Amino acid sequence: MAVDLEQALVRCASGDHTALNGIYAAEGARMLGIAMRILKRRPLAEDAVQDAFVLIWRDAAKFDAEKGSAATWIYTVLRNRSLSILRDEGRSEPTDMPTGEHVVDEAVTPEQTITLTYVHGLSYGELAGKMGMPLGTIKSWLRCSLLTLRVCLQ
Amino acid sequence: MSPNGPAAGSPLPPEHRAIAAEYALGLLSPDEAERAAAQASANPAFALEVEHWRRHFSGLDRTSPMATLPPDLRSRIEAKRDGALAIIAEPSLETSRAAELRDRGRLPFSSAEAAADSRRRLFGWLWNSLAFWRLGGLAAVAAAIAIAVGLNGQLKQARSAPVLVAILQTPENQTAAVVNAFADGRTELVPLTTFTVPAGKVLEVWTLWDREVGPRSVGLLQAMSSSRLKLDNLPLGANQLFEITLEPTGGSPIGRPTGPVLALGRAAQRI
Repeated sequence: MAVDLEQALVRCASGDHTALNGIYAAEGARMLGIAMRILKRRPLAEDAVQDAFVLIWRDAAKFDAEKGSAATWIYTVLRNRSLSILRDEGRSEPTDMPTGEHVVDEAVTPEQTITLTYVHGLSYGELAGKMGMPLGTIKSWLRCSLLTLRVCLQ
Repeated sequence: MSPNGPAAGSPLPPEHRAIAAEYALGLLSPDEAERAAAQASANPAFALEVEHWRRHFSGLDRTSPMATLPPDLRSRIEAKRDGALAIIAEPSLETSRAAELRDRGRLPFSSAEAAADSRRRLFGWLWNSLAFWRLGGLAAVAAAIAIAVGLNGQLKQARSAPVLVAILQTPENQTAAVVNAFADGRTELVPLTTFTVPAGKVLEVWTLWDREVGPRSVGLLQAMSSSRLKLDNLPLGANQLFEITLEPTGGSPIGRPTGPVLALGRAAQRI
């Protein structure tokens, strides 16, 4: 049976440990999969999931169902943690940066760019490296694409 | 739809919509992301826009394969869940002296300036103290002792020169602090610049010697001040990374840096 994540966060906020276990059982495997897509290495991804659960537990009271869905909130905590670890890794070991690994020759669609960013955690700098475009150009191009997408979504 | 939603009129300027999307994608720098988070708390229309984007992109989360959870991950979470970060920087010797004077009622406050203030006050107190001047006759003896102490101090200093030094630089390449590690295991942070620390935030000092182990917190500071770092049982070697990040009061809740990096540098062996 699907866990009611919203209810689980409310119970976490009141100090109910079983609620956090419920979220872990229901979402943990997916969360680890997402963290691995961003961080590539399993130990780092496990750290990200571990940190995310500690943060979910600590900040559950900050979740406001009026402002957004529980799933979005939980996955945002995980993504932020994963991206933060990714940045730390890149910073302490610059040679690990994936920049320029596979330079994309063909034209890349905005959707593909969004996937590279969201799914694999690429930064603007890394996108510019991969696509062989200046940083400023890629920024304004992606912003423009996002705004166009926003109009289509409305 | 919330009364503050896009349908309620007063749409967000395109620039803000683009920032909301970049924020949801994780493309903003730590500083920009912090500003976006502040804007989301202050402006419901912006918060709604961010949530809109997050919901849109969350479709990509569902494309992720499941990963097998390691058997010990649940217990690792449980171990960290209720644990607080216990490493607090010890005040430097100077500030301990200031604290001692303050405890005796001679200093009215505690702050990073306490040490300098204590020196000023102590000097003023000596200057005005009749008892001190009555001891003037002993000045020659005192001078001799002072010279002896000075020599001894110099010898001590030579023995206690740091074996490792790390120079911490800001992202703008400004030198922010020096970390000195001594042969006896003592490690100190000497600030060379100040950082603005917003209310509810602290400066946290980290060290990283092994990426498998991850960064370890070695001190929390309210403001940049000379501090003893807690490296007691941690390894120390050349090329070890030190950094200062901005964290919530009490330090990073998860034992890893979460805030923007203010300064970082690697340790080098003294020649």
